[in-house]
Amino acid sequence: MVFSSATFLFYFLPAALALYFLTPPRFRNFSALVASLLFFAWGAPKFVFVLIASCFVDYHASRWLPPGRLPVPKRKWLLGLILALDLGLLLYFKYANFFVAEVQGLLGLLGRGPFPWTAVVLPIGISFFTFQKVSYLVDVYRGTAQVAHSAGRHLLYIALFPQLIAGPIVRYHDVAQQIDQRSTTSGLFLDGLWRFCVGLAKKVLLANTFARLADLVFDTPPSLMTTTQAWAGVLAYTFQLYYDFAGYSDMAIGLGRMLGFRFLENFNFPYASAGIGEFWRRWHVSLGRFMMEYLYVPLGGNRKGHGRTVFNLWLVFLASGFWHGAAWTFILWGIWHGTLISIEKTLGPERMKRIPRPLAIAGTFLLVALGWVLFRSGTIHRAGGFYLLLFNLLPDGAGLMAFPEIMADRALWLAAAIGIPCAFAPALGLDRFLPRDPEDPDAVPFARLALRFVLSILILVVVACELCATGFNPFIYFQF
Amino acid sequence: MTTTPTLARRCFQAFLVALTAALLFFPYFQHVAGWPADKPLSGFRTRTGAFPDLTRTSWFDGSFAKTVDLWATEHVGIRGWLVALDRQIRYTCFGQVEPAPLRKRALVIGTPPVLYENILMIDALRPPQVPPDRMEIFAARLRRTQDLLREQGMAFVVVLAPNKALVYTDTLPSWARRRVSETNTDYRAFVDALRRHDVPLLDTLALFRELRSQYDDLVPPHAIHWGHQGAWIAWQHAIPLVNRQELLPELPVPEAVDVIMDKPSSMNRELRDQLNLFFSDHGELIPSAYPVVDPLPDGMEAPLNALVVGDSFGFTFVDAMARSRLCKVIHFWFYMMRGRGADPGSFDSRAERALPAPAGIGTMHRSIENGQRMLAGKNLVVFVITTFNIDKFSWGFDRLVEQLYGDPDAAAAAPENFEEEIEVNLGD
Repeated sequence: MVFSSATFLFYFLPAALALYFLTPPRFRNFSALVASLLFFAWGAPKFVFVLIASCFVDYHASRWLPPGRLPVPKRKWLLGLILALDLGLLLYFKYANFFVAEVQGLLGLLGRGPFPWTAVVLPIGISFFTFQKVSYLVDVYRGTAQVAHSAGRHLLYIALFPQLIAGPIVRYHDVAQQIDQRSTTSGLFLDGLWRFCVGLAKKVLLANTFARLADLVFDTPPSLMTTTQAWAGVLAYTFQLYYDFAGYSDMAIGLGRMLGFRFLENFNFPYASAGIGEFWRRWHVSLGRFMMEYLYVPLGGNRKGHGRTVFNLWLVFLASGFWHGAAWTFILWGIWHGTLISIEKTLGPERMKRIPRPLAIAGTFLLVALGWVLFRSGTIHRAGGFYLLLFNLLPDGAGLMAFPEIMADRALWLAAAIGIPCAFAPALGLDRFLPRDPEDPDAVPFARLALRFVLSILILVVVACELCATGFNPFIYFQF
Repeated sequence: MTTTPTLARRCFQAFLVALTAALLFFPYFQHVAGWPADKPLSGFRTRTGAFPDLTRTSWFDGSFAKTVDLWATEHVGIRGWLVALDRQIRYTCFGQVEPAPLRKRALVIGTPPVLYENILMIDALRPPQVPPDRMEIFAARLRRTQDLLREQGMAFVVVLAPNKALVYTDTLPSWARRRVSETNTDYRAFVDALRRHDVPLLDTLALFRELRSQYDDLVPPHAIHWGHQGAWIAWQHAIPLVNRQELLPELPVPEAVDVIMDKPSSMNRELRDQLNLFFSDHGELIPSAYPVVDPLPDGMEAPLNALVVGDSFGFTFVDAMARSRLCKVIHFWFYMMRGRGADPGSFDSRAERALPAPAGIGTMHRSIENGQRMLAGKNLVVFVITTFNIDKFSWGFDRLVEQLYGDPDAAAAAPENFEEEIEVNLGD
């Protein structure tokens, strides 16, 4: 179930909120868990049992993980075993098809026939909740968080529906306290509603509009289009991806607030970054933090010299690429970013600062956008053809028939006029005009509260109209 | 840092939360209670019916969730209002009712009050679909069809209906105006090929371009198809092509005794009714010309027993044929899929504004038996298609005639196995 679907907006959300708020506060974790499991089961009716079982195992094993419960070697061994189980599930469900296809290909090269294999169906959100499971186990092992008070609370942390299937990746120690005790006020609810509606607008009104151009370009063989059309498609996809994923994160954060949870931010104007390092501190922040805390630091971080630091970074981005998808294009995308950040690290901050900021922002944006070609192309061959066309190394094709029609669509230009400056807001000095999160939602001035509410309802109605008129639209990040 | 809200603030916030809850539950309430009444939508066909049954199998294989997702979009309360509002916003802000790229059957908003169906635009923008060698084979087959029918005493005429986007190019949206061209369609190659093979062809695209300054609504502003006036003129121009075959007694070209400005009929509002807007510059009902003639005097018998084969342009064409007093029986084999029958003898176009719905024959797939039935007793066969259906290769009518009157083995072993994609217009 996606947030921007009629099922969610018109049926699940009202019912889940009613269930949650009509339940006495001490039973709200239970009602949130019921709603979350139904939400997950809607898209993965069989896998929900695997999720529950694996969480049950995690929880009971985690009781032996806190420092002092067992001798260190045994704790390490136990942590390794449980992590292997969780990551094994991820490997099996997400990567088995990829590995089997590669092995089949190799066998084919050796003249051997393929062996029988039934494709594994990827359960939605597995990449996200597996990382949350890892976060819980490692936090408990390190002693930065206590064991959850019950298996139900542990399951709620993993399965809480706002962030279950596409993040943000919530670290256990960030929400452990909130699971046990949180306050739900009408101010926080309205603040969450506003944030949810902003996310809806980003997804349905901006991302979906950019998607029409991006889909047209990327779903056509490069040989049929022109260089200009290819660049237009890359730009459209660059903004589509940002508003799609940032929109989803906003919705997740907003829904969390409606239920009384406060999740950390996941996006902070990434396209206004003046370097790849900065980009990754602003894009999918929760993934960056997770990778930093649970992979980069354990690998040695920057403590073992420049060469090892660069290698560790490169490895982290390779893993990040592979986490995004089981395909060579994602691995290459990870390598692309790993290489860029390694170069940036080698150049050092002083040299980077010498580049004029507008130029650095433009350069970073271009490099990131070029990386998205790998992200969007299904195969390396296709991505290669696309790059050749982008750099004018492939003759222009006849051109896309629907391209002039899409370019004449004023909705696209309106989305661009709003979406592009907003994406670069800090660089253009526009961020001060954009709404900020109030420190205390119960202290927002009346006029602002009323304005936000009216805008929220307006967005909700427009999005509902759009959903009913154009039907179903999935999120890009669901595939990860 | 948090503050304790004042009572007034708490009340105001609680009121907004209650309002949110009411709004979120409203579609569900409307769906259950049926109040307030939803806005009816025309031209939208739902793909789901009743709420799907929940079974263990349907739950675990995910089909229940999938069907409910679709069902929820199509059956949510106040859907009609929401869809119309969405279209109104797009129309008012962006000059269209659906986002680009448009679906095949979507509306294209032209200069008011003209509307187009997108398939016409696609036809005029896309490259030709039929390779020259295939077009040549098709033209030769139509020629062969004509010869075989002639041996059976039947005249044969091909009537190529016009693509509205190519007749009224000046009212297209500006992005399309510069790009549509007849050379993009199969039109030019088809006309040339049929002329090379000397198949009797009425090219109404050329005819309508020539006549459009004299007639207001050869293809009415809100129509996909030619209007009654257009179809009437097409039929008038088809008569000489029949006469030239010298198979039948000389037919007079029918003349209208009057042109009645018809109240808007289904033919000239087929696109307007799909706008689903609250208000627009395209929504005004526009009467269209309906040429009428005196009925056949008592005791006289019409000379033609006609079969019309083709696409939806055939409906108005059958109407025009019926009004002309030249036809005793008309059968219409629509897409070679459905059979319709008309009995024009009792029809007085001065009293009735349109031909009564043709007596239904029903589903009639292409087969030897159905071919024999439809062609029995006929002395005229008219093949009516528009430019975007050229690549459907007469839906197999030519091969059926070969099977019936020519060499059945040759029909079975046809060198080209043409795709037969059946498309049905919304206006059907």
